[in-house]
Formats: sequence, C-alpha cells, structure tokens
Amino acid sequence: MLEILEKLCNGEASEYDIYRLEKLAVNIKKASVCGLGQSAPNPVLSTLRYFREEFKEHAIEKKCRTNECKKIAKIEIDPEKCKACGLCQRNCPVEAIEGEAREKRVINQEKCIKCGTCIASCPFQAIG
Amino acid sequence: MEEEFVTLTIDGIEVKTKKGNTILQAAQKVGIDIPTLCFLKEINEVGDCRMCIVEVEGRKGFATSCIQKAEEGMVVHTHTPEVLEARHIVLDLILSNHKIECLTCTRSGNCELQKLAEKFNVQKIEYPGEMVKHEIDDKSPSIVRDFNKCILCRRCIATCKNVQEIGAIDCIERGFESCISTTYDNSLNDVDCTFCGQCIESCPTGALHEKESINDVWVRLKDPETYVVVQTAPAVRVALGEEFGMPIGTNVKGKMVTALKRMGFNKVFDTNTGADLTIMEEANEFIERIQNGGVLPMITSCSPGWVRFAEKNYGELLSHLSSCKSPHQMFGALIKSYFAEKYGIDKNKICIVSVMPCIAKKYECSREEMEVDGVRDVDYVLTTRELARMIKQANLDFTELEDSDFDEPMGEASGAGAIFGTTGGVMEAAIRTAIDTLEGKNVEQFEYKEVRGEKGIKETTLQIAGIDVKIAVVSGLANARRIMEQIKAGNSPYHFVEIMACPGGCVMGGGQPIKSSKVRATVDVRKLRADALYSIDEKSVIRKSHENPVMKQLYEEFLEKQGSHVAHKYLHTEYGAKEKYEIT
Repeated sequence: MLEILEKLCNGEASEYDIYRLEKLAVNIKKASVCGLGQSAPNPVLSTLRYFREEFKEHAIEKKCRTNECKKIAKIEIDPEKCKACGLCQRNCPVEAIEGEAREKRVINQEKCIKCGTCIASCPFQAIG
Repeated sequence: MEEEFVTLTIDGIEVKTKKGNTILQAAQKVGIDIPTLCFLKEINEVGDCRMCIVEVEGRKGFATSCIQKAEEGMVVHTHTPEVLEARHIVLDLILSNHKIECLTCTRSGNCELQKLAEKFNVQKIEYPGEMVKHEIDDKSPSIVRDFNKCILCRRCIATCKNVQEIGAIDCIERGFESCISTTYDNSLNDVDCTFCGQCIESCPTGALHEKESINDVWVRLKDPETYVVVQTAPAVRVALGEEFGMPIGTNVKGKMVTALKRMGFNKVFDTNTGADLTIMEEANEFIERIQNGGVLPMITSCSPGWVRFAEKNYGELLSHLSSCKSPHQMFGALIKSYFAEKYGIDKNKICIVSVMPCIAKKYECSREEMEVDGVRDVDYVLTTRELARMIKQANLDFTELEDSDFDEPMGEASGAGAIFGTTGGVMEAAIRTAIDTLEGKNVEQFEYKEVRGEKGIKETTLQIAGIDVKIAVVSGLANARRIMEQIKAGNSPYHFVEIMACPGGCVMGGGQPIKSSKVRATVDVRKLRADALYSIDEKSVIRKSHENPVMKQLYEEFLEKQGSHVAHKYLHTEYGAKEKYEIT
C-alpha cells in the first residue's frame, strides 16, 4: 500500500493503481489475523472514501491540491494578488524567485524545491 | 465415550463431522477443495498464510478454515467472489516478495506456490515492489537455504521444532525484515542442525533444497579414466517412480538399474548387500557386547542424522553407538579394496556414487573418518530426487524402460537388507542373524511384527538363547532424545536400540521425493513405501543376511571373520563429541 501511495505522490500512478490500492486495502482488512492488520488499511480506506477526487487528480492530472506532494506540487504566484513587495524573493532559500525590484515576481519551476517558505512569507496570500 | 458430531453447511451441502474437526477437514470429506499453503497436517496448523480463508455467515471478516473448528449450524461459503478475490490478493502479496525463477528452480513442477499461481491464473505480478534480499546459505554439505524464495509459511520451523525437537531454525527479525533463520543468522552448518532434511520435505517452495552433486557426477561419468560405481539404497527403489508419476510405493528396481546403466555407470551395485554386511558386523558386535558385558544398550549407527545428533547432544554416551559404518560407507570401502583388487582396477580411479534417500549422507561421506588409507569410502551422494533429475536430463523415458538386474559380484542381497529402508528394518534384520548365531541353529521365524509400524517408539522383549533381550525401535529425533535421556539417567531397560533420524525411517528420508501437504494429509506415504519394502523381503529367497552367499564369499576371501582386524579397518569407525552451538 505504501508503495502505491508513494507512486501517487510522485505522480507516477495511474487510475488502475487506485483500483489496486483499494482492492488491497479492503482485502487486507478482511483477511488479516490480528487487529493491527485489520485496522492498518483504515487510513487508506477513509481517505479514499472522502477524498477520492484528490486521489484521481494525483493519478490523472498529476496534480496535488495542497502542494504537499513535493514531486508534483507546483507553487505559483498569482499576478493579480502580487504587490511586488519582494519578501518572497528575499526569503527563498534557493533563489528560485525571479523579478526586478517593484516588479511582480515569478517562480522558476526548475529551481523551486517546493519548500513553501514563500507561501508563508507572502503578506498578501498571493502564493499557492 | 460416544463421539460427538456437529452438522454444518458448506457451499449448500450439509456435512456431518466429528466435533473438533476443522472446516477444512469437513470440506475435504465432501470433496470441496480449499487451497492451503502453510498447512501441514498435525505439524503446522497455524492459519498463517491466509490462503484457506472462507466466509462464515454472521462472522466479521473471513475465517481460516485450516484452524477454525466446525460448529453446529455454521453456514460456510468457500468460493464466493469476495473469498476468491481475497485469496488472490493473498497470493499476489506472497508472490510480490518471492524470487521468481521457476525456470531454473529445483522445485519447478513440484512447487505448491507455483501450483497455486497456476490455479489462480496469475499472469503478472500485481504488486511488484521492494523485496527482501538474503544471502544464499550453502555452507553446509547437505542443505542449501535460499530465503529469497521463502514465503514464511513456517512449515520448516514446525517440523524442526515440534517433530524433531531440534529447533535449529526460527523466525528472526520483525515485519518486512522477517525471515526464517538460525540463531544470529548463522549458517546451518554452524548450529545444531543434524541435516536430517525433514525441513526440505516440508518446504512448499524451493527455499530449501539439498546441495546438488549432479554436475560433479556427470563430469566423472564423462571422464574415460574414471571407473564410476553406483550403489542404490533400499528406500530409493520404492520412491523413485513417484518422480515419474508412478503410484507411491511402486518398486522400480529393474527400471532404475537399467537407467543407471544407460547413464554410463560402469557398475551398478545394491546397497542392500552393504546392509547385509552391516548386519553381519552389527549383530556380531551386539552378541559380543551381550556375552562380554559390553556397553548396553547398543544403538545402531546407520542414520548419519542421528549420529550427528548424538555427537552434538550426548557426547558422553557415544560408546553406546555401534562402531559399524553405515551400509553405503561399508560398501564403498569394500569396492575400493576387495573389488578393486579382485578385478585389478586402480582404487584411486574408482569413483563411488551412492544414491540415498537422505541428505545427511552427503555430510556423512564428507566426514574425515570415512576413509581407509587416504582413500575416500564414497565420493558423491545423490538423493532420490537428484537421481530422478539426472534420469530426466539423460532423456530416458523412465516408465518405459525394461527391467535389469544389479551387477555381479556384489549385486545379490537378502530380504533383510531390503527392509533397512524402513523404521524397524535394521532391528528385524539384526535379530534374524543374532538369533541364529546365539541359538546356534536356524530359527524359522522371519517376521517380527512388533517392530513394524509407524509408532515413534516400539519396544518388545525377545527370548534368545535363554536371555530376555529387550529391544526398542525409534524413529524421529524427538523420540531419540527420550531414549537417550533414559540412558543418561541410567534407567534404560533396553539391550539393543535402533534409531533413525527421520520419522518413519529412510523411506521418509530428507532426500526422498517431496509430497505436497495435500498428499501428506490424505495418504499414508510411509506405509505405502514401507509395505513395498516388506513385500520385497517376503518375495526374497534369502531372508537372512548371514545366508547371503555374497557374505560368505566376502568373509572367506577378504574379511576373514566378523569383527576381525580387516573388518575393523574397512567397516568400522569411531565418533567424537561435537561442540554444541552456544551463544557467547
């Protein structure tokens, strides 16, 4: 299960993997000897029940809504909201944010390590 | 007390079964097949592998039918789509951590995992992923362990711990890292393993197998300089046919000899003759011990697994063991001396191959003591399974082969030699000769039924020449331990004890064709094979070792007399206590 979940997080999974994951979880729950085995798949099963859409997004669109899955996360600056203050640029640990002073900033996806520092530093919630 | 019964419904069929029986047993009674993997009747009933799960109405989750007792009014479904899917997943998960190399695996064709994969129509590995990697342990002369093929069913552990009471292996590590191994992951060679090979017999996959000598033997066969002599143990002929689809207990002696001759062995001899020789020496040793107040009880020493067990655990009691070598070692020594001289063959160019139902014999033939004047008694030991593989390699259509006889001059054997292959046989054979010698006349009794059968410890008292001789026949190391503890405590009532390491004797040895758990649960393999040996004995004209003309000739021409100096040089050996594995 862990390996399939990792595949999903890395954007390497297909829709069939979700099917495999669910089948595995259901059957481990039913066929296990001990209570640990019977309950281990519960987190997978409940997230599948309530957040199936997100699983699908990961598999099909290779997208992570919350940007928690670093491999497929994409952090962007909303040009509408950006006030060109430059705070994000100053705080970025890998100098992935480009743009001159008083200009709206853009994230260089090649350099970005998806650490989220910029998101936290933006006073206008323009990054996500 | 009247037996209680319960009635339950399995797949719509009403089944009445004894109270205490499992669902699996009840289902088998009405011909419903439930797949199993870790289940080994009366040895490993733990419900570990989850292959036999079934649905029981009103119960949360599935029940494991191999351990779940049948209850009154139970409604069981064994083949619902849910059950089938769950079993399939269980199998998928087992396969996801199994080194799949069926094409080159020794168990291909006789693998319970492979059979299940075929049954479930597995066409790809559904859950590939990280696999546990283990080094292959092939340090011992007998057993190879490849844990990359292990499925953690624990049948070997149960056999080693509960049947043989050795406990050389157990589960180590936790979770994903779990594996079956020895203390501190040592090689089997370095712990208290006796090389009985019962673990191999119980393994459903190719994780445990014998250390093969097939290629070495082929090399020697191809070498025109080498004079290759093969000898076959009594228990091999009644089991070899099974590897070619013949019924259990078919005597294929004739076909086996033909096959060996076609494969290019220069001479094909019968270890039964060696067994006769062992009886000549062993019975003589026993008589001497009785008459001269030697160490009693005397214990047989034909089973190398047992000898290793004794050396490891009862070093101080080794004087009880007969000094006789095992039949094939005796025979090997004779071929390289008497036979070589008589026929003018250079003994250094003779290669002796023994086909044995045993893997401890591989260890035995590599023991330092097993040589005379620097010449090894036996060069290679092949198991019954290896011989079958070689016959297949040689492209021989085994079932269609004509019969032929063992080669002269050492091909004739008595019925007493034949029954060596089953528990109680050595004792019976020895008694036939000892009685005649002690009474000084020909006693017309051949069969001693008290020492036959499957019981682990059989005992009886015989009146021989006015002495009450108490004898015991023991098979399985757990029972051997009991007898040894008695001797250690100084209250053993016996004069003569036969001990075989494998439960049931050589017919159930660690080198015999492997039977699936299903066959073992439904057929008494031991009895079928043993009966075949007893019927060889019954049909024999000569049924006592000392009446075998080959023996007479051997003693006249070479060995002088029983227990002589020459006999001791070639046919006897000594033992030494071996260090037990201690945690330091």
